Amino acid sequence: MMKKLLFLNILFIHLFLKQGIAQHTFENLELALQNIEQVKKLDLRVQKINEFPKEIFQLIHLEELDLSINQIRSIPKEIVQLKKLRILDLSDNDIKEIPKELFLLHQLEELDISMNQILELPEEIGQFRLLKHLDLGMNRLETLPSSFKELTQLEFLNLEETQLSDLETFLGPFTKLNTLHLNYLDLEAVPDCICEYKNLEYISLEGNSISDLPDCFGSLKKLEILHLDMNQFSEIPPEVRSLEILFEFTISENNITIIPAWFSQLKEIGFLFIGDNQIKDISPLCQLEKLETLSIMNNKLDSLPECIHRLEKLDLFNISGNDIPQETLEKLLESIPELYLIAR
Amino acid sequence: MRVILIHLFFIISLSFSLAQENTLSIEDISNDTEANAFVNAMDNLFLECIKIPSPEELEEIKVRDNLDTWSEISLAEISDSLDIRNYEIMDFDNNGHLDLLIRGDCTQLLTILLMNQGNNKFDDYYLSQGNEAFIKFGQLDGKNVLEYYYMDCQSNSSFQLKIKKRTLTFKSGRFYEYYDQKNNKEIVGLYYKTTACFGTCPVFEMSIQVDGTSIYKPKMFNYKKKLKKGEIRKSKNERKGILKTTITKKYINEILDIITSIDINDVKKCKTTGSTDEPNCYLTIRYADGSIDKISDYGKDTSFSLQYVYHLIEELRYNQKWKKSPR
Repeated sequence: MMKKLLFLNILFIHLFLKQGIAQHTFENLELALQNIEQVKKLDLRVQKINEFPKEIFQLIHLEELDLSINQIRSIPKEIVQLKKLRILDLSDNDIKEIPKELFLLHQLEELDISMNQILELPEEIGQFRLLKHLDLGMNRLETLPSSFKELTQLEFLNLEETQLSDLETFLGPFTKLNTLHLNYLDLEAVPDCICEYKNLEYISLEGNSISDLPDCFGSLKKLEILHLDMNQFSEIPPEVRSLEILFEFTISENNITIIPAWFSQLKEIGFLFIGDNQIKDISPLCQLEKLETLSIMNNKLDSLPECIHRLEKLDLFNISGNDIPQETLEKLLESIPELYLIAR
Repeated sequence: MRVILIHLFFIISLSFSLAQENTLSIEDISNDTEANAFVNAMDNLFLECIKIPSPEELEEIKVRDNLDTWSEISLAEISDSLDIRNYEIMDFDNNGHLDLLIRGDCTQLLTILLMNQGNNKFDDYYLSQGNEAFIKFGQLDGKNVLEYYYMDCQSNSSFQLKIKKRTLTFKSGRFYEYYDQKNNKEIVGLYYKTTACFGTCPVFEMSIQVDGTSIYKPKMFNYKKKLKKGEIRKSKNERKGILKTTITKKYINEILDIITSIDINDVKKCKTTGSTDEPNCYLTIRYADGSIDKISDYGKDTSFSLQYVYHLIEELRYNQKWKKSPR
């Protein structure tokens, strides 16, 4: 009996320790190389690495590799040896080219190569059939291969600040997409196909030249976050009215003059940026009782509606660049004492 | 005369690791004029304008010693009482090369340490700006330290000039306050919040639990990309909303190690708020026993150690994978 108990104890301790090591993220390559069998996660971000460490290819059980925020210039072809890799982060390096061998990592689910100098991607990218998360933002990409459309498992896609145009050509039936970043792409219109992405929860379209949204945009019923800052909107697009669970809405630096009455129906909004427009009245916002952060800086307000005191959850209110009397501001601070007010 | 104590002390920078070249040598310095010439010969616009004040000039700079009685004390008098000299030379970091600690005027008084790396290369440490700090080399348990004398801050109701002393130790290229009294309470979480300044200072909130789970709420001027040296920002691509991540234990421990080395009561003192152009920051430390410490730091210059804590927390905005938090 005692022997059995002892055996069970030893087994338990062994399994516990093994599990403990297995879950451990290695942050030191030397240490990882001493534990090759155990290393599943290796985090070497922000370590001033200027060359992809080839020793990493010995870590054949590696599932997650983070080499972000370094000065790596190229990815060796031997990357193909990391066959179990599921997550690869090479963001914020100086990489210009992606070797075809990378696309033989068929287990890859997340690839972040944003903030590099990448000019093009090979046709083989379509082989990433399991890819859910792809971040290509802030690269010099001018085009994407036709196989890009085959990445139908994508849930997250970032193409912001690239040189891509004519997005309709590249965007495929990404029906599982929940996050899409299309900031700073000189878009004049939102691609219609976006309306097919019914699972979208977050879309950002900042820094384009968009003046309206497609009629079908309101069908994106799961949308919680919408960023439309720095575009050419002269009104809050009426399609927004149908986005009933919208929580975060930003539309600063446009040409908006009026907050329409229907805006008060968007009861879930907690975060609203409408600064740098031409707005004179914010009365409809009084109904947004879940509002926590509100920026209406640099508009044309010379007063605040009396009802603004209802916004008891408001904790940051940026009202700078307007012409609100000091007395009104003091009254507001009295009614919402926890408010951080930016008013200069 | 306006109350001179606008800031308790203002540290321009903990460390500029820029190499400075100089054809003169610290070994040759034997008086104020030569020390001044040495600093002016540096390839650095700021250092080029440094001028060591004469005894008469120091005598002319006066600080008010009491809110009610309005008497004044000259900086020369304070310097003499503390045995502060315009320059000092020693091998502070024990690397075999003499270093220079110098006080000079360049629009306002500055104390700078030029750390000699050999081969005419120097690292410059701007230790104080303004009239409020007096610094000299010192010793603690056989180790080189800086003795940092500063004018205690004023409270709203009364003010009396009081000179206090801190000891600064040097480790891995940074200065930290040394305290006998450490903060031994078990920390369970941190909350950090910054406010706006006259400019584009980042406004954000971050709460960090010791297990690493953290929430980041960027409010204004929190860009997605940290610019590299020489890089120009092409867009206003900012982070917004509520984001979450899990910070590594190693990083959390680095922050906690510094906080636990600080005597919190010493850095929680009142601060002057004569100007409103600087950003404010608030650090709340939560302990396992349910108590909290709150530090409000206008200008982010209460202490060298805390300044590095702020730096580590602010860097988290860039070196973590922040994900949008589901509501």
